[in-house]
Amino acid sequence: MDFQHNREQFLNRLAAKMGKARSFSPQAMEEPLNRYPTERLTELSQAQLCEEFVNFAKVMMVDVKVCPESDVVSSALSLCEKYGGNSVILNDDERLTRLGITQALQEKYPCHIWSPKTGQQNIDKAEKANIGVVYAEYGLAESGGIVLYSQPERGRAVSLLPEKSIVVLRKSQVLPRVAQLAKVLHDKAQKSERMPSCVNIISGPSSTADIELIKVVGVHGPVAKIYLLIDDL
Amino acid sequence: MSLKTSNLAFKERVNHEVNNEIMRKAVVKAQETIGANRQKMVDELGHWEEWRDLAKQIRNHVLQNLDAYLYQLSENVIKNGGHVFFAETAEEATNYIRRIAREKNAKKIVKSKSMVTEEIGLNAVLEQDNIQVIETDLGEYLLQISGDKPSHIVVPAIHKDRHQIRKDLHEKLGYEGAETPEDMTLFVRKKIRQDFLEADIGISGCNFAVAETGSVCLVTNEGNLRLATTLPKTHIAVMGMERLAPTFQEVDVLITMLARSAVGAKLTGYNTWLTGPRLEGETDGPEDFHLVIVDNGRSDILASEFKEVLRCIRCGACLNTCPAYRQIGGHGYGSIYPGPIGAVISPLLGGYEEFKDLPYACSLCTACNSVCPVRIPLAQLINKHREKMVAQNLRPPLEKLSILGFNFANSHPAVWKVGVNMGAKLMNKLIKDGKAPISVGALGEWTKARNLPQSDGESFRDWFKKRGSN
Ligand code: SF4
Repeated sequence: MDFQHNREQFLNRLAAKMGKARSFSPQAMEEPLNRYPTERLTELSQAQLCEEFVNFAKVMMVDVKVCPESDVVSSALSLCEKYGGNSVILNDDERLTRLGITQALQEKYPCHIWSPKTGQQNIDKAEKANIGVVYAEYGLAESGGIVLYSQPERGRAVSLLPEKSIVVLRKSQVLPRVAQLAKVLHDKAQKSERMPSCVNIISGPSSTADIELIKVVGVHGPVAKIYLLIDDL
Repeated sequence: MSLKTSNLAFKERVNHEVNNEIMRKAVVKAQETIGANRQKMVDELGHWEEWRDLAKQIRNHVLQNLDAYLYQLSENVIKNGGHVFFAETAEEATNYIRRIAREKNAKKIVKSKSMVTEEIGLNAVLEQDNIQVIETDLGEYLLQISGDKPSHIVVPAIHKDRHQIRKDLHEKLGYEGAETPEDMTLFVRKKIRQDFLEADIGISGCNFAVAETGSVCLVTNEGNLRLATTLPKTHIAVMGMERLAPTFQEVDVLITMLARSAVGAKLTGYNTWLTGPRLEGETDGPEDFHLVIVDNGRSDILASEFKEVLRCIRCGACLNTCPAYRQIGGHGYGSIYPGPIGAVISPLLGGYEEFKDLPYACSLCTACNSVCPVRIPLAQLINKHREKMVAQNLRPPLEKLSILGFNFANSHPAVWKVGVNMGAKLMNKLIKDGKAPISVGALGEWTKARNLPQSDGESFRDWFKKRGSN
């Protein structure tokens, strides 16, 4: 049975069970009963949002280093040193290059830059790297999480396979909560733009509580998560 | 595995579970710990009741427009280069996934925790083709190596303690390390890493699909879902057909309610929103993406007086508050969906013949109603099952007898009065150390699982009369 036929049969049957005529576009959503999700934390200034973000990230066992843009390279180097240096993998992200982080790390450590040209080698390198460095689209104040979009130059594995994950982001990019990220993506969809194939919201290192509810860090993903937060306010 | 997790009769299962000290201690601890964390997060969020109203509104809107949203979702998945399959039955779903696995010549599949794939019995079907299927959520992995079944929808191995887990790891995988959660977790991490790298297919569930964009939103704490959808060349997501949200904006509300209700967290560690297969030039992420949309009885539920249960977002909060679950644990229910949500949906998905006892594993205390983030009136729905079974003459025999007796006494005030006075005096003589020496029917089952208070020989009516005259 082809897809069209199968789908039509399934949905026609469903509509019949629902006791209505089949419809192809949903009714408009009713006015939401309240606006807490979109208004929550929006009364805070950007500085206060960042404070929330940092405080809660620390609760989530993230190591946070805040520095002015002028110190970002030395901070990146000292963080890599602190977490054992060795092999590093970075996204080919112009924001990391513009800051000078990519070049500085390349000089000091064996580095691989994730690139569409290097294919499977990207994953092999990410698997063996000690540290992965990425640049985040946003931080989320409520949950202390960060947001990553995948792209050909920005692999999903860079923040996933290395044992330690360093995330660079700017204070000005900290949003109150997921609602604001959802709005950005909704607006993109309204303009018929393609979503990134993968949007990751990551709050803290990989963890589990499956054995006696005791929290253990690093079951599959990175064991350590580090934010390098640029103070650009 | 499929919906049913035990061939034992309900009574035998319960007898077994109430004597399982390890399980009972673990469940009490889980209810208390998760319950306290949940409350903290509810207070921190503020306006909790209004958030619940909103979550209910969103889920109701989706259910009212389900055919249209599923159409929109499937159009968008295809537009993004993915494939969609609509499966009316569990068999259609598993056959489709098996076909893909055959086409891909798959030898190894990594799975991220998913209730709907348990429900349709997917692993067993794939294993018939000699495909190695590896559950990668730590709890599910531990159950898989020991041939055990999940007992909770969020923390599946909650019934096991570290000694049992150490023993399983040693016997099945030769683990020689310490009996600490840290060492055992590290052992599993190393063990599964290679599997992720070698797997041909990653299979996941779907917490919420987004109709507007054709995306699937998945939440985990461990990051295993990220690995399962980043490394293998094919990703198959399996969703119960009601798990939909119109846009990411509603997903925000639902994942907020889910994380806070399920584990008492502001947000789950990893929220991964996937749209189609990888884009041109991308090195990781699947080349091929399939979304399998499963009915398996859900459209019948939607057409019934139980339709409110389809608002469920599988947070497990109702399990964490239920006094019956506290006593008999997940395995007592004999279904992959235990607790109050299980007592409602297991009979709907699996039929009264198989699950007629579950609506009776409930004291109708309504604690579940008060925690459910999408305001499902679970206790009322459980009661509705009982009414329906009465109408169909499907009650367990003891229940029939006690209801007959109750109805007779209730309609004969003199009998009632003598009965309660005698009962109060009798109980005063009989209860020793919280246990009644006679073990009859419901009373017997009840006292096995908990201690009775010592009666002072006075009936409630007598006590009330005296109190009224003071
Ligand atoms: S019924 Fe409500 S409380 Fe229970 S799992 Fe579903 S959403 Fe959670």
